[in-house]
Amino acid sequence: MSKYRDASYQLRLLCTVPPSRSLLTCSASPLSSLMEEEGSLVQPLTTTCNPNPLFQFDLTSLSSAQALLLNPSTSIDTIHSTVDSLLLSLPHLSTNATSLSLALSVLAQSAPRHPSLSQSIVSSVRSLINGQDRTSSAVLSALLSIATSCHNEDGSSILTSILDEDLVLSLASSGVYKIRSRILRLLVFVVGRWKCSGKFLTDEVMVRVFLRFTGDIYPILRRDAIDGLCEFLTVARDGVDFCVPECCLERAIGLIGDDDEFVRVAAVRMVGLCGEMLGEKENGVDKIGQMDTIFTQICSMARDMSVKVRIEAFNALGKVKLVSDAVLMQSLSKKILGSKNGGKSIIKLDKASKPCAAGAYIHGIEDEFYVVRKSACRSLGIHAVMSIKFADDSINYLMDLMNDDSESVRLEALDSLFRMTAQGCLNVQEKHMHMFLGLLTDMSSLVRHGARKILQLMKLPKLEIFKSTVNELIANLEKYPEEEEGIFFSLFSLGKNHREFSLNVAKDLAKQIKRTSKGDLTFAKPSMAATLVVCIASPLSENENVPDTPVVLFSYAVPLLGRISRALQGTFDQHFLLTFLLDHSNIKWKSQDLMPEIASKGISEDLMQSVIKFISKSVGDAWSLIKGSNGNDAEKFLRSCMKELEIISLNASQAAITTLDFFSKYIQILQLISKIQCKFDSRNSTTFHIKSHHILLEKLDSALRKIRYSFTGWTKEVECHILELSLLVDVFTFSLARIPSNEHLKNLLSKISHLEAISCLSDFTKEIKRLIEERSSVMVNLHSLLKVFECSGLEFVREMKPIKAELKVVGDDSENPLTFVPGLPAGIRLWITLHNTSSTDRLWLHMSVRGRRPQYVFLDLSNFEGSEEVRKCSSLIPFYKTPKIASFEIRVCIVIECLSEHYEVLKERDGPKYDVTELSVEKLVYFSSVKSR
Amino acid sequence: MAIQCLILGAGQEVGKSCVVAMIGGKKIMFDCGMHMGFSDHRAFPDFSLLSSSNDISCVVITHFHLDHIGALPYFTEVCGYNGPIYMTYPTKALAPLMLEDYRKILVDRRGLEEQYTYENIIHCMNKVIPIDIKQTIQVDKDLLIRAYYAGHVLGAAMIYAQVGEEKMLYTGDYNMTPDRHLGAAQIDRLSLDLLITESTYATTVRDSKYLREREFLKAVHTCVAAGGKVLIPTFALGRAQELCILLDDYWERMNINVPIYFSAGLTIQANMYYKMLIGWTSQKIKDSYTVRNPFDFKHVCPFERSMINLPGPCVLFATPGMISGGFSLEVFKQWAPSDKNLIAIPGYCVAGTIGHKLMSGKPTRIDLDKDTRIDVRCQIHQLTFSPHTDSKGIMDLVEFLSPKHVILVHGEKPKMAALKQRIESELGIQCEYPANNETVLVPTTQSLKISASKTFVRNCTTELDGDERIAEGILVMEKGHNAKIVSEEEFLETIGAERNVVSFTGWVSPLAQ
Repeated sequence: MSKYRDASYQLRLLCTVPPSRSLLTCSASPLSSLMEEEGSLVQPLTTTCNPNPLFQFDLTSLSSAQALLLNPSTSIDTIHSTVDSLLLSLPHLSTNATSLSLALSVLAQSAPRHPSLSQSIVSSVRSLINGQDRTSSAVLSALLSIATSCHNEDGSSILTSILDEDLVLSLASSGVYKIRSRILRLLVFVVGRWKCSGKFLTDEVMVRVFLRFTGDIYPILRRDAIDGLCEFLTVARDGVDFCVPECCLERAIGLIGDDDEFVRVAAVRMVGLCGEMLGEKENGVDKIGQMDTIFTQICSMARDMSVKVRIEAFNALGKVKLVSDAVLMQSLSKKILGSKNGGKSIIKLDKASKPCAAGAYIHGIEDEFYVVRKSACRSLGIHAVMSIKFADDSINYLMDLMNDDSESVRLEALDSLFRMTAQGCLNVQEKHMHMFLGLLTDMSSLVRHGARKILQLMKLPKLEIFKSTVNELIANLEKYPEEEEGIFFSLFSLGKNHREFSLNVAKDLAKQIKRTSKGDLTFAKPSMAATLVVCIASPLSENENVPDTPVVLFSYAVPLLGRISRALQGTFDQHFLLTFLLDHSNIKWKSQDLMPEIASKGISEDLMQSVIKFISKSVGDAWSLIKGSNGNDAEKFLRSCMKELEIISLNASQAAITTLDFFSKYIQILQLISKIQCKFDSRNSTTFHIKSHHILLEKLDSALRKIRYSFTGWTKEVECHILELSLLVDVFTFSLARIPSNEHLKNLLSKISHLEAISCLSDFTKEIKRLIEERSSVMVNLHSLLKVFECSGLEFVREMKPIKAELKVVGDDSENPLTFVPGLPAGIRLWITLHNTSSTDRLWLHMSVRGRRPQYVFLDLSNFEGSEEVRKCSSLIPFYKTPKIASFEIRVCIVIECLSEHYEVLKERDGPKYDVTELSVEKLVYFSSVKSR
Repeated sequence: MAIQCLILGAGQEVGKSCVVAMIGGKKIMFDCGMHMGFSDHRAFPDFSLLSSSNDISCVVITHFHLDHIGALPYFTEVCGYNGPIYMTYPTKALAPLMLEDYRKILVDRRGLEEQYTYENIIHCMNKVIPIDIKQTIQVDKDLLIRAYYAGHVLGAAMIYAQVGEEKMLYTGDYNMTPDRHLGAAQIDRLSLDLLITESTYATTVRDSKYLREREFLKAVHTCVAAGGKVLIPTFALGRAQELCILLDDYWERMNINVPIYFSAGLTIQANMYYKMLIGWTSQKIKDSYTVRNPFDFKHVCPFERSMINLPGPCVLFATPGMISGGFSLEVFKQWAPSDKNLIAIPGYCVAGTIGHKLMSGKPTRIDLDKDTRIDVRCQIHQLTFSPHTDSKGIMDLVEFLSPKHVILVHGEKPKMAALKQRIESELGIQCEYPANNETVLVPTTQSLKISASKTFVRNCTTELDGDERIAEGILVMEKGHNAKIVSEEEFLETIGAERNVVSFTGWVSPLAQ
């Protein structure tokens, strides 16, 4: 930095010296030594010993100045000095245009970085603007880049400060292309901010200048001029005089046949814009005639060879309003319509501009490029909304577009159709329906959605069409059941809008129901639900048709309440819907039977409690089924219990979820027990597989372990019950082994003594104890044992807390795996969160690569932060045995050691000594070797 | 100067397109086709009208249809033309297939004498120089030609030729509306002296293609949904691919699982070429090509002859078109008696073929020969897909190009007359439709280089004011000297005359207002 400061100091010195002298001093001044020292850093000025001394920048010094100005760490002082010295030397450079333009471009580049300098730069270049051609073009381009880099208003105010009418006019009529192009670009820039700055040109002069430029021989200037005019028209919109858009229009029409593609694009855009403005303005002229002319002119561009022009032409067509029907109709027909259709205006137009409107839209929607088709489709939709006659014809083409190969065109057409439907000018005919209904089974869900949206508002002329529409919607439902909500809503609207037709369908359905016998499952199909929605729509929404609608339909609709009400969300309250359906059905009910809470909100706490009570009671019932050896029934029962639990837990609170989780785990255990029970029953038969028993028992054992170690805050009753269950498992194991080992026995006894210790000995425990003491075979008495087994204590399940862990691997996913060197340890950064763990718990991190022995890492809880409820820790865990392959994945999860379980000597050398159970979800960590990267 | 056009074929008729244009002293032959309706000498253009086959600078072929290329091997191998032959890459690829196919039919089926041999075709095609769209070829020092995209069939081109300031365009066959697999004709604004355009549909204005597509799809869908079979007799190139893309797209969108078959042979070979020549197809195909080659039809299944009688619905493209014999006739015999089935006939059918009988009113039975009689109970759907532009398209092209002269070829006389009338009255362009072997002279504007004296230029720059860009001067043309434009003073100096000014003064009476 000190170097910079020195340089700046030297530069300032330089600037204080009068320019004529400074070059003399330069050669011998300390500056030159500094230059040498700094090398390329600062070498602003070199001198020539000339009798008429001049400042002469060479390229090196200019580039040094540029480097200084652009370097973000240059100090403010240095920048100021550099800019000052550049500015000071500018007047002396005016004879050397190359250096001057380079110096100016350096200044212009620095302006956006240092806005404070803009004003001073601009005021000092002002004097140069009238100089040589090259100079003024360089000045103008510098001005342009300064102005564009400024914040919105500053830019144009800077220009306003130095430009005036005479100057602009003289520059604009320059014979040099560069000057003209730059002043034009400046004007286009200014006109965009016309309102927010003072004006240095009157509107009229501005428009005149632009209009003159539209006749320039350079196409790019013509285009810029048209863009400028468009900008002017949009900015000044209401403020401009009527004749301005007319004048612009005339010029634009002259230019739409230009040889240059971009000029044509701009001209067409301007014609559209002028058409739009003239359409809005009130004037005495025959407006329709004028709009017709504009419309026809744009239509003639619909056959241009350039795609861009065609797109712009159709965009512009959409802007021109108030076009006569005759001209619009002509744009839909390639044949020239006769005077009986066309009326006067066509004949008049024929003289003026040939029948160029003919078939413009047809060409548009048949275009090769989907962008053109899309644009044509949009503007077709705009006009269709405004003219009923045109709408009737254009619907043919819009419907045909449903067969387009581009999805975005189909969507645009659907959008236009939707707007037409919403405005009530969609008059569907039978011939369209095949194509339109085909959309309901379209591949794209957006198209299907769009089609349904239109159906919701559509008015169908015939019963057959109505029926086929309903059938297509049902086909949609069968193919894409995930769209049920939308489909039901469409069916509902359809039924609502066509009262007579839906009544007809309702009667048919009722007859069909009458014919079929009870318990026939054909009515469980989705099509049934769909048809019911159509039938109840009109009674529901308008309370009409109610007496005519067969009662049986309402009662059939009651079980579908949930699905129907979800589709009609926002239209009808579920409670209202239920009341309505029950009122009109032949089901007897009282209003207090309903639980309004369920209908409206989620599940309240009280309700939750009763639900839990109910579940615990049902689970008790399941036990009786198991005991009664009704294996299949018990399984069915448990499965439905499971399902209901899942549904309830969707709306449950956090506390309730823990309880529900417990129950779901408990039910899993029951399911396993029931299975084992079945197996034991069939044991006498020949199909006895001891292996499958062991697998089941192993599963049961681990499920029990899981339930014991996943929750804390047991009540004594529940704890006893769980212990008894594990006793039961032991009994099963015991009876399976022909000769029970001593270890088994020990295990049993230890559990019994544990139960004794917490003084809850049930009949079941006592019985086992007795049997063991009597040394009689447990097996023989399995049935009697099971009979005494009681399912008690479940009603005391409450206020449990879940023991769980969350694992997050930092910076790894399958796309960006961690790297490793094969054979060397690799580190995995993990975020671990533990819930409700006590300090006596022994937790391990279990890491395994498929097909290899797992690696355990002990988690020292003292390293964790937080309380017993939540502990958190982030640590780098090493994985030692990285395999010698290019990439692999590790499964990581947190396990807890089940300390009260039986001890297994040296289960893992460096791992847990007891059985473990998982606390967290398994995470995959991806590794790829350094070489393969 | 003038362009001299000798119409050797397709003058006031459709068939054997061949135009020899002499432009700036260079002779170019556009197309060299044969007439399919004749098998004698009338099939080929009358090359004897050419003084020598080798004073022709080049032959340019627009596309591979036989009425545009059929006489080429004859012209090169029999008449002995040696100069360059230009055609686009796809034309070069597909032309030998077409030529050989036709030669075989001629010799094997009809037992006629061949005009050229297989070796002739190969030898002729070896001389062809392929060109690309918008590629400018300098044939010799003066003559340049350029090809523009014409739609119509794969590889079809319009040919632009220029010698010095004289410019002309020969359109060949073209299509101004895109279809599924080919784009619309595309051309730049060229200030032409002469435009030679086809006029097959000189008076027809065709409606939107969507309507035709919709009806076709509806007919096919209803038929297969009811378990019927659909037979589409087509020729191998063009329509088959177009319709198959249409069906394949529709099948995809509507999740239809009915198989589509191509009868083997030329079609499969043609499909292979279409797959390779993606750059010559429509924008839609080019867009979807990045994901999947649209000619790898998803729903097209391999076909075997035994499948004709398998139960269940299917769609079959069978050659030849018009059910004039071969495989399509065989299938027709099997399927026509069932009212579930559908025969969809795309395009035009020559009188005498079964296709023509089916199109001209629904017959209940067709007598194939003495012993074979077919009961026709199936449904018949007629499609009018045409790859030619309609009269609106011709008018649009003429209007866009705004040439000084138009010559109509490849059309029927009365219709051409009507179109000529329209072009002359609506667009104000001179138009002609010569008959075969007629020569037309089209005058061209000639530009002349003139120099300007310094004084004149100076006067121009000083006198120019505002938007008025008018300068006054005197053009001096002397024998043996270049034309020169001079200012008034200089002129007076040269001829040694003095300037005399005559002034008039007039009075206007106020009453006159």
